[in-house]
Amino acid sequence: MRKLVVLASSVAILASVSFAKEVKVGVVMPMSGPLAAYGQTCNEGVEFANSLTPTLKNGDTIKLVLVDNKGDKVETATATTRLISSDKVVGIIGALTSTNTAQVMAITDKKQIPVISPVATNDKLTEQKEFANRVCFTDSFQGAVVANYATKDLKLKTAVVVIDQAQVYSLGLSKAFTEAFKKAGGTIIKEIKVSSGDKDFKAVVSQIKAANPDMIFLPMYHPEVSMIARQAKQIGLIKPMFSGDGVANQTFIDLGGDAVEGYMFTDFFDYSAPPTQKSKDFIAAYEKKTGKKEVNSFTALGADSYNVMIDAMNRCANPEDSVCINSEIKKTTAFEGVSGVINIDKNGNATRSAVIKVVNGGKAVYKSTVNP
Amino acid sequence: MILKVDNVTKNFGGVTAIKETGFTVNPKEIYGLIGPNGAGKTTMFNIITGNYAPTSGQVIFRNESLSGLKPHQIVRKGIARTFQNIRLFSSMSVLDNVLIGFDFQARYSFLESIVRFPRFISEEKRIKNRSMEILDYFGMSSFAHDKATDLSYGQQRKVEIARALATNPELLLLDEPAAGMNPSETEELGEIIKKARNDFDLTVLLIEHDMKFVNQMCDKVLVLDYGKTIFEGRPCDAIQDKEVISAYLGDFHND
Amino acid sequence: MNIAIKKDQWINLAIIAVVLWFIWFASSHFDEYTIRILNNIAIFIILAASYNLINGVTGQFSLEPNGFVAIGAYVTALLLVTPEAKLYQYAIVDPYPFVMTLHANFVTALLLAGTFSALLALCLSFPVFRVRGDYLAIVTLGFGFIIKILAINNPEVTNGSLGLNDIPEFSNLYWTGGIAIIAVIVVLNIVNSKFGRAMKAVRDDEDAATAMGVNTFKAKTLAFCTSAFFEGVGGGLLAALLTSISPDLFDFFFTFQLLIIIVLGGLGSTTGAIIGTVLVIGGSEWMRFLDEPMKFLSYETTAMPGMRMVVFSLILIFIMLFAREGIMGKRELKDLFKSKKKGDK
Repeated sequence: MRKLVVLASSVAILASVSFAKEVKVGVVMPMSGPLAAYGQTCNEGVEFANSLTPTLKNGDTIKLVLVDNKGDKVETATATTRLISSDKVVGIIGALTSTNTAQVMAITDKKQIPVISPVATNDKLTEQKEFANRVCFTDSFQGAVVANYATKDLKLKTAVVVIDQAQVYSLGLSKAFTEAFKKAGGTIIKEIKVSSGDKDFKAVVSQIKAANPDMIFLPMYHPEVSMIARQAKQIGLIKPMFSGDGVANQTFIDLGGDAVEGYMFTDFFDYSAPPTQKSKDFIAAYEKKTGKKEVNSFTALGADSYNVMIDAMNRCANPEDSVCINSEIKKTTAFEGVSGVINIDKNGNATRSAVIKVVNGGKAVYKSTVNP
Repeated sequence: MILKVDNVTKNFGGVTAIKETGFTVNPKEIYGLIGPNGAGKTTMFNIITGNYAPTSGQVIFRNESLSGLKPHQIVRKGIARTFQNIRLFSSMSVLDNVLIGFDFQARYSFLESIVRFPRFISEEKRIKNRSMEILDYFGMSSFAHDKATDLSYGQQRKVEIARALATNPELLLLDEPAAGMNPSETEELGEIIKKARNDFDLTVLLIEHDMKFVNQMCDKVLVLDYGKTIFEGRPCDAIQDKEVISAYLGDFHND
Repeated sequence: MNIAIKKDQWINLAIIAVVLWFIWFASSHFDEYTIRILNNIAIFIILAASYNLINGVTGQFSLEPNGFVAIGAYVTALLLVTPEAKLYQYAIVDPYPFVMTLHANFVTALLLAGTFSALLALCLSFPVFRVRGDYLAIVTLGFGFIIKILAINNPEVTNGSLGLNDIPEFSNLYWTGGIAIIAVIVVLNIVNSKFGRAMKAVRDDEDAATAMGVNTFKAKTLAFCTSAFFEGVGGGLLAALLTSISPDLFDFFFTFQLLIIIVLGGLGSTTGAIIGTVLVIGGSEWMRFLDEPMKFLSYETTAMPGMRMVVFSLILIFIMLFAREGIMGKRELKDLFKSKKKGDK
């Protein structure tokens, strides 16, 4: 009898093993070129999440196919086409910037392959697209977070906004902030335009000083913001300064030095305040593997893109049915992710919390969480 | 009178290269411009070809003033030149070099060349045939498809003259055509130039240092020194003139 | 002599026929990834062959492509994107009313893209080609930057750094390949005419060219405007292939990539431009395997993203060291066969 059981279970195991397939998920990231640092950080999260959860519920293995887009649009188009037609992926995670992600989505929508963007926050990205999704918040949410925190918690009433007109990110975030700030009863005294690549902001900081606002909002990337902060300090302009997630990295703090002490910004995630049990487990596993506890938000979001994708695949009868995966992604509710609790609506946008951090003693310190 | 240089002065900043100089060349003459180095001979050439504008004075060609005309326009009036250091087009064949001379005479437009209308084909054929005729005249037609700069120095010089003749000139300016040639090549060149002068109805103005060549070739010479005329007349008289002798101080190749 | 000419024409027709057949075969048999690469190659052949006309054939060092390609791309995009798509796209400010009325079919859009670029090139020619010297490189470099900045700072027209999306995907191998054939034929026909001779003469020795009656200003301007025309058309094809364009696409690196292609292929050779394009565009895709884990017998390396660009650069350096004139030098394909004929003499 025993032998029969052993035989039967061996056959069952063999059968499940032989039926277990390899399902491919594509990843488009800038792994070389000017955006490489961000791309590699994000991809780290995707791959680490894959190592923690390499299989689906039905035993199928998930294989990640990573294609480097060098931060370039033409390469992004080629990479996406390759993933879909040659590698036959069932879903794609990427790209990084809003413009390259838009390029991915232009192709995936026609091919009915779901895309999860880890960090592209521009509001317009998911509009008029059926297969576009993201796990990060949108710029309108981020802008509102800062506006509400500034007016309600810090009781600030007037603001000057500095906009980088060469960056999609800056334009979107500044618009969102301005609308939310006005709605909360605040006044925008002035909008100053700069361009990424500018180095001399003396005129800018002088104008701000003359306008004497309660706070300054700089929805831009860290190279320009760190320089403005330094030049502001030089002329004695000391005011509460805020940015979005574009400065959420150590380079910003290193570049800004003591000029950015007290600087506040929004981010998706802080490892010192893990929002879910999943976060705690992830951070612990990450520390075990790399020896570091500091999990970057991009890494956390990369991991969550993967986890949400897998979660949706698990809820499909056929995990290779891309259309099903896409609709399941849009039904993601109260998903316990590494970066927090994630809900994804029918437009593919994520409702999730943001964190506010402040620079203290040369480090980004968690201040509070803002829930939607 | 085919060419008249009328009281031309040329200053470059503070330096006077040519001072109130003038001369007249008659049709079918071979006229020589000689003088020590730096006398202003090549500058005079460049003024005639329109590369420099005279500070004062003018150049008159066939009763028409050349003032204000651009160099390529002056070529189309009938004045062609060669260069002292043979400037053939290095990437092109011998035939293509000569064709360039004919190009402004080819009667087809840009659009016709793109779409290859019949007029393009017939005009290209016409100027190719004419080019081969000229090359043949100089005995160079077998080299037509060789790279121009692969030829020997003497052969390149002939090609350069052929190229100049392709522009259908009445006046041919030769800048030290015999430079770098041995005596037999020089004599051959002289015969060719004389023959071409007769066969193509040319007037020739040449700059030269080689006095034997000047004697052999020129009907008249103009001797320049420091941008001023010091003698005008027959070559045999020039070498006897006191001022000319003192200007050269033994620069002559008097053999 | 007559028989030789006819044979040349037959060979040319045969080559075109083979290419056309290949376009048909690829469109119906190849997978999408390969087709996309072929589309990229075709568009870059158009760009390289025309860039080669001003840089290689006429010898005028210019850095214009990214500017004219951008203009062509934006003109085409503005003419092709439907009013509905325009309505929801303009996120920064509302578009000017005239933007909403802009509409044309694909062929008209491409022709307008090319013509507009060529007219701009004509305007640039006057200040630049009338003075001697290397001003062309600086002016065209600046021109490229200016176009990019104009695209960013005029969101009422271009939607700024967000760029234009939802461009209808008109480009396919028939369009890109067909126009590539036309562009190459046009360039070759120009080169093998008095205009091409004038351009080469300007390259070899501008003073001697003038002394032979060549209007050097006209030669340079013709080359520059023709280049601009096809760069504009290429930009339009690119817009209709990617279906989304933004200012960051048309940076200096875009020009630099074309420069690499024509230098690698041989400055002045149209055949070289084609070979250079295939090697650079096709080659850098083919070398993607260098980015992935590789197996050497039983030893497996980890993935090294960016490795293919390192290898690519090394190959470029190697070729430039040992074939300084590029792969074809100044020769065309038929010149390779000509040298055999001369040996008969």
